[in-house]
Amino acid sequence: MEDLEATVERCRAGDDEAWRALVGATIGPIYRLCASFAPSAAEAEELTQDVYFKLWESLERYHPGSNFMAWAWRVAKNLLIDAHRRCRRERQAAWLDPEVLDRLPGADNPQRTAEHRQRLRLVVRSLGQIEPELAHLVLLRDFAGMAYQEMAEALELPLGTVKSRLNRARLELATAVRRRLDIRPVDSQTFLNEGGVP
Amino acid sequence: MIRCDEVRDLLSAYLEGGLEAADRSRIEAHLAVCEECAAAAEAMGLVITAGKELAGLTPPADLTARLTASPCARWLGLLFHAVDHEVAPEALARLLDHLEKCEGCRRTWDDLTLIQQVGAALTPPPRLAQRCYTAHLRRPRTGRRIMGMRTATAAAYLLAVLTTLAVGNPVTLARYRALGTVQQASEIVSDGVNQVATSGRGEIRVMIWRAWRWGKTQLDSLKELLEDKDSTQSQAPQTTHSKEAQDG
Repeated sequence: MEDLEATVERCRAGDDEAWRALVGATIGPIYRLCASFAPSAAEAEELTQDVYFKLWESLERYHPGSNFMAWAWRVAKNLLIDAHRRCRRERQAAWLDPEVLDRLPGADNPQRTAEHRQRLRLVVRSLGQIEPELAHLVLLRDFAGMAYQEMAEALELPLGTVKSRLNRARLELATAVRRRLDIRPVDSQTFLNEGGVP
Repeated sequence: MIRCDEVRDLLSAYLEGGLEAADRSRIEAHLAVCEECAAAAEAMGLVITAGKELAGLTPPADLTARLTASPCARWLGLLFHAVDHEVAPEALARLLDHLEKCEGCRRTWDDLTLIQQVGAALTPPPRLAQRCYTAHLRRPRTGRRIMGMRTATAAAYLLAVLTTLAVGNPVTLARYRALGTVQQASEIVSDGVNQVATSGRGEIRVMIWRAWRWGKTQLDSLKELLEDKDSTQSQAPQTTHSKEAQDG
């Protein structure tokens, strides 16, 4: 496939074939991003369509050399954050929807699917207990599969800041998960703030 | 020995396999003796693993087809934004280029703008609100019959249609920078409205004035836009000239 800049340039000129090529080349990561932030499989599809419309509408704002996924986040950030707000309110996620779970690799193994579902349900509930901004970082990295460099560009932050914030987000989420699992009660502030070997 | 806070700072990198062998060994040694950090690492690992399970997620089979099926479906979305004046200038330019080529979208654009103009013209006149407010103070009417609201509404609709036909679509006119046409149309419609408004009665007069005021505001803003465009172009004659040379 020709490089993305050339495809975007042809899309701007109204070339419908170029738009097909662009969608074909980016649908995987864009759908995964939407499925990470949407509350159901149906809404993930709607969100994907809305995001693509937003991208198409904003093609002029794509600068050559930009990372496509980082640009997509910046353009469609509000749509994705609104969707995630509904996830938190409804305590649901597209990745808990049987329709999505059935499309995951290994879905033909019922035991494995049940384990997936259990782990994912635990995470979605725990995500609702941390700050939304921190939850977005975890979703971008661990669920949408964004690279650190893409995240840095998307969030317009230095790479080191992204890494340290994500580490902080994961620690808070881990604390919430442990509370839910009730393996061992933990005081998150003590855990996060105190140093030294216990 | 490495401290707990240092381990926590490196935990993400450790679980993602992004550490040098020496750092990895130090962390593993710490996790072997520190229950708190080991439990945190376990929970964090669970989160990362859960997310990674989405890596193989594929979009529904027909989603790509739906996204690329009808180009005009996308243009229609942009049309709605343009009618609501919620579109970036670059996207509007693209839309206008498409409208020149696509008759179906052009017709939709004309319909949408007409509906919007009619809708804007149908706001209740200020005197009507006052009348409603004081209605209970009045005696039942037995005198002359004032033209009904239905007739007044129809008249306002007709006026908006005539205005659109006479003046044309504002954005399309802007495209062709037809300032002279706008002025002429403005005078013709203005004369017509004056005649109807001075000879009409009751609500119909109010509605006509209301519709005309709206139309006048639109025309004024269009004129300003065209004048701005003209002055911008006169400031950059080099660019225009070279563009025309290219076109020619």
